[in-house]
Formats: sequence, structure tokens, C-alpha cells
Amino acid sequence: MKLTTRLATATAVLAVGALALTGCTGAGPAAGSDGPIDTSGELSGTIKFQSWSLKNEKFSPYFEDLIAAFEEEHPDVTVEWLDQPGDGYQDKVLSQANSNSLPDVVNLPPDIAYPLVAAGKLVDLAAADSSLEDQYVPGAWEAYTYPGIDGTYGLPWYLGTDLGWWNGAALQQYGADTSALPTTNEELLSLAEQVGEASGGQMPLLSSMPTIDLFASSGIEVMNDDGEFVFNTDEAAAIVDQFASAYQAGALPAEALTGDYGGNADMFKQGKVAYTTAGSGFAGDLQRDAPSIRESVIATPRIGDAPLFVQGVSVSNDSKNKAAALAFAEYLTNTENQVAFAQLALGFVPGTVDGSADVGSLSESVTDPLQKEAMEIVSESMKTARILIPFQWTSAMKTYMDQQLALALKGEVGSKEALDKVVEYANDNLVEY
Amino acid sequence: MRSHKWYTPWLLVAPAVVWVLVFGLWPFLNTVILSFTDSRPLRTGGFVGLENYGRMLQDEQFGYALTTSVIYMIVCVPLLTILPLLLALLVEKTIPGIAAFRTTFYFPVIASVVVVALIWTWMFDSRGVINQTLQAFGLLDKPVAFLVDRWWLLACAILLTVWKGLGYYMVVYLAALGNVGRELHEAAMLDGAGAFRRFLSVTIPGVRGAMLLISALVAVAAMRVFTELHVLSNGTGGPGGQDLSIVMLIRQVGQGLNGDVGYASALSVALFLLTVLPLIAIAWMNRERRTVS
Repeated sequence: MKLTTRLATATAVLAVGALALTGCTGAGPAAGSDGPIDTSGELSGTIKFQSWSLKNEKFSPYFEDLIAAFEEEHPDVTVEWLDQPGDGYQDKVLSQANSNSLPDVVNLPPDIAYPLVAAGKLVDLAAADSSLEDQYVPGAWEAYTYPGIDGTYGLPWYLGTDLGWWNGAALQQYGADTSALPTTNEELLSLAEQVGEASGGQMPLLSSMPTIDLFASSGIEVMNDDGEFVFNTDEAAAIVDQFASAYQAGALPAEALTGDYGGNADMFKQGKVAYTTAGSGFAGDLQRDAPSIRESVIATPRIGDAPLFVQGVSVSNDSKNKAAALAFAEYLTNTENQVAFAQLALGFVPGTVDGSADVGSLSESVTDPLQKEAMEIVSESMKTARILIPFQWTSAMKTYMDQQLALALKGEVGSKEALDKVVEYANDNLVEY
Repeated sequence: MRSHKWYTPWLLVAPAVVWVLVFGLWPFLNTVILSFTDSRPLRTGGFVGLENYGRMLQDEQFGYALTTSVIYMIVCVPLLTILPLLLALLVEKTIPGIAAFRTTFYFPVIASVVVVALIWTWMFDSRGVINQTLQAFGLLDKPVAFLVDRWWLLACAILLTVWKGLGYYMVVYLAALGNVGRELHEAAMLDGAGAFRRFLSVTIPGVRGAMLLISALVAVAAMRVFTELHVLSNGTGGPGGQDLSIVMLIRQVGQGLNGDVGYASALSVALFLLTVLPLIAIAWMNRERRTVS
């Protein structure tokens, strides 16, 4: 009898423990918030705002002033500012979402926002305030809408694109004509091969493998209307073949095959590659890190279609204070504050209709000719810039593509065969919520 | 005599039991359960039966990862079982300054494997010191792409593991050698045994327990290798993913907001089984020895 009691007690303890533990398997989908949120009344409480690698000497005063101004407008609201480091942001957001501790207002680009939206973790901002849609740049607003899911889940904050940067002195040294720089990817690869051969592989023009945005910017359809990846075309294979040819000619360092030279801009500053893409703020980076290279640097519009980079802020569905959170998100992304931010973050453009209407004015106060020229190129490029990488493209897909294209560049498999495998892998691993 | 309540022993072991349940048994069981689902990090998955295991058998990259891990184990186990023993025999002598030698051999153990692997990356880079030196001496016409060739990359990683592990296992052997009786060596010498014969007949039987332990530790570590290959291949597993280890593949598949948790869990279960196999083999060998003795 005594043994039976002990067994029963032990079993009960284990059962309770097991049941308690099953509660630790991750948060289930939260209830969606699909109604209007009134921000016009008295707001109160504490909200958390999370930015992504923006707490530094350059931006901290801006955010501190902005938060102070918001708190002055809403004396009963306190904003706690959190900032996460650049690396591992997805993992941090994932752990926050899993533990139901997503900050009230959180900086999320559209691709990171998608799984959170699908899991019901973010507030539908179009439903929360129907007047918002007209205030933001349409393309950026649409970036936060997803097929099969109603609503919009982010307020566009700042937008960007990049441009091409050439090391004029290095190009001239190896016989390139800097007055007629490439304007197509074909010309770029041809020049890369030429400079690679002339320099004996010592001055590559490229330091990374073909990427999905390269295919998109070359006008190749990446994803069809049915939501399937379809970039395994002959045109894409031709680009990979050209890269393979350039690689054999020494136009890319060997370690480009493992993405070890992915930091093309860093290599450019070190004088190890003669071409890179980067935002207009790169002019300032060169001034600080590589003034001698800057003397001969040439900035040109990005080859092919310019990419549109979108950053935005979202409101957590787990927030206990959605009204204050939405009010702060709107305040952070209003035209006045976005223009002030863009004046600090040179080369970025406000995500509001009014703020982006006169992007030329952002460069008026800039005195550095190279910086000014770069900003003007960005302003022009923004008119046609578009999102090149579908939000369905995951990091595992990118890694798989790098692996397969590395084999193609080495000549161990055909380029079409490699692309076929990548597309098959990507379609097999599409995440459907 | 004062007796305790029946539940007192339960209370005493409760913290340890809870610890094992929460941080050992439950995560393990949860991984097994997840391996039969199509779960994602923010979505509870549905039951998919053996689909993930079936996919594993057809996954080319799992084939690469399994090959890499098994080769790693096959090469590392003998190297890290024999070489540290020889090293320990060399530095076992009590001569002036020997402590400095022992410390030198132990240095790589102290250094962070990530830092060491990064340094090796720079060394073996196509513009690194090894290629430049070989070219300077006219031994190479053009750089060898050590880090983008399947077998060179694997060889570099194994070399790094062996170099880094030598000092640690040497210390284990030094402790084991201290227990080998000097009189056994003297008796063998009287019987006319030379140095090599004494090594085979006295030293090796004397440190056999340590050898089995080290073999087991190295086999498990080799099967779970990650950092060396990850850093040397910049996380890609080399061209085609041919140098992926199983742990790297688990990370590649399961990481991020869209990670395939179900398949990554199935890979983890497979890794667990593959890791247990060499342990069982070594335990069986140990049991044989006890039975014989």
C-alpha cells in the first residue's frame, strides 16, 4: 500500500511537471488585433521601443530628443528605448516573440516581419488607423502587406538604395577606361575579367558570387504570380557562366566562393577590390577610413534596377498599451521626424509621401562634392527603385544558393544545373503559414 | 534512533531530478517529438510521420555531412589517441625546463577555437602566409585554394582540431603514465625488452583505460564538429556544402525565423544515434577487457 502511494505521488509529480514543461514549447499564435486603435485620447503607461543597431554617438542624441519630445506631448507615457546589435537580430526577435516579450514598438524590415505577422504577433496598422495608408510611400507601405494575409503590418520608416563605387586609380593602372564605366552587368563582368587578367588576380573587381537580387536587377523574373521561384532561366545561367569565366580569369578571389569576401565595401576601402556597391553614406566612410582611395573614387548609379531597402516599425500584438505604442510609432515615422533622421543618416530617404517628395533638399546643406553627388544619384535612383529580394527568400535558401553557385563557378557543375537545384530547393522549402 | 520521513530522500534528489528533467530529458523528448512534425519557430507543426527521416535519406547535403563527420572521426580518433601519448612520453622526463615545454604544448588548448580558426583562415587564404611562402620559394606557380576545395578544407580543419587537442590529451596521458609502475618497466628490461617492446607491452596496457576514454571523447567531439569547419568555410560548408558537418547542417536548416525545426530535429536525433554508436563500441571494448582480466 505504501509503495503504491509513493508510486502514485511520483507519477503525479512527473505528470504535473511534464504538463508544466509542455508550456515551455513556444508561444502559440496570439489573437489578432484587427480593430481601430484610438490614439486621440489621454495616453498613459510605459512602452518599449526597439531599434536595430542605432544606439551610437551619431544617432543616440536624435532618439533621446525624439523620445523626450514625445513624452512631453504625452506626460503620462514613458518610452523605454532598447537597441539590439546588428548581428543576430532575427534570433533576438524570434526569442522575444516566442516568450511573448516582443517590445511594443519594434524596428522590423518586411522580411523579418513576415513570420511574426503569420504568427499573429503584429498589429494590423491599416485596420488600427485607416488614415495611415495615404501618408506613406505606396511601394514601402505595400512592402508590409503579404499574400493571403489581410492588413499592413509596418509603418515605413526610412528607405534606401545603393550605388556603384569605382576605384579610379586602380582601374586606370590596369588599363580600364574610367570615362566609360560599365552600365550593364555584362559589361561589368567583361571589365572584371579584363582587369583580373591584367592584374594577375591582384585587383579583382568583384568579391562575391551572383545573388538573387542581381538576377532581379537584371530583369529576370525571380518569383512568378503563383508564388514559386522561377529564376532558373537561360538568362540567369548566362550570368553565372560569365561569373565562372571571370572567376577563372582571377576577377574574383578564391575565397569569394565561401562568401568570405562578402564585405565588398570593406575590401574596397582596403584597396583590395576596385568596385563595390554601397549607400551614399559610403562617401563619409571613405573620408574616414580610406582618404587616399577616395581621391580617385567615382560614384555611378547602380547597374541594373536599383534595389529598394525598406525599414519600418511595427506594433506588437502582445503590447499591453497598443494606443500609446501606435501613437509613438506614428510619431517616430512622421514626416518631420523622418526628414530629421534622413539628414543624419545620409543617403536614406523618408518613408512618408511628404518627406520623400523633395529628397533633393536633403543634400542642399551638404558641402562635400562627392557626398552631394552620391546623394543626388540616390535621389534619382529612388524614383525607380524596387524591392528585389522576395520576403519568402530565407537565409537557408541563400546559403544553399551560395553553395551550389560556388560549384558552378569552379566549373564542377553546369550553371543551369546549379540554378535548377537552387530553385527546386527554394520551392520545396517555401514557408507557408 | 531518529528516522526520517519517507519523502526525505525524494526531497534531497529533487533538485537534481528537476534539473535533469528540465534541461536534459525534456529537451531530448521534445526534439524527438518535433522530428515527427513540420514545426517552424513561430508555428506549432502538424504530425508528418517519418517524412523528415525519409527526406534525410534523400538529402544530398546530409550525405555530405555524414561523410564529413565520419571521416573527421576516423582520422581524428587515431591521431588524437596516439600522438598525445607520444608527446606525453617525450615530456614525461623530469629534466630542467620541461615544464616550459609542457606549457607550450598546452597553449593551443587555452586559445579560443574561434580565434585560432580565424588565424588559420588568414594563413590558408589564397593570399595568406602559406601560399605566399610557397610561392616565394618557387614551390607553387599559383595559390592553392585551400579553403574552397572539399578535401583541402577538410584536411585544414582536421589539422586544426588535432593541433588544438594535442596538449589537452597529453595532460590526460601524463596523469595515466604516472600510474604505470616503474618496476614493470624494470622487469621488462631484465627480460631483455627494448624500448619499443616495453612501449607495446607495458606502457600501452598501462594507459589503456585513458586511451579508451580519449577515443570516446574524440569520437563524440569529431562527430559533433562545428567550429573549425564553420569558421574555415565562413559558415557555408564549402562549395556545394560538401564540407558541412551534421551540426552545421542542423544549424543551416533550423536557424532563423523561418527555420525548419522539424527537419532540424530529425537531423539532431540522427546525430544523437550516430554519436552513441561509437560510445557503445568503446564501452563494449572496455567490457571485454574487464571480462578478460
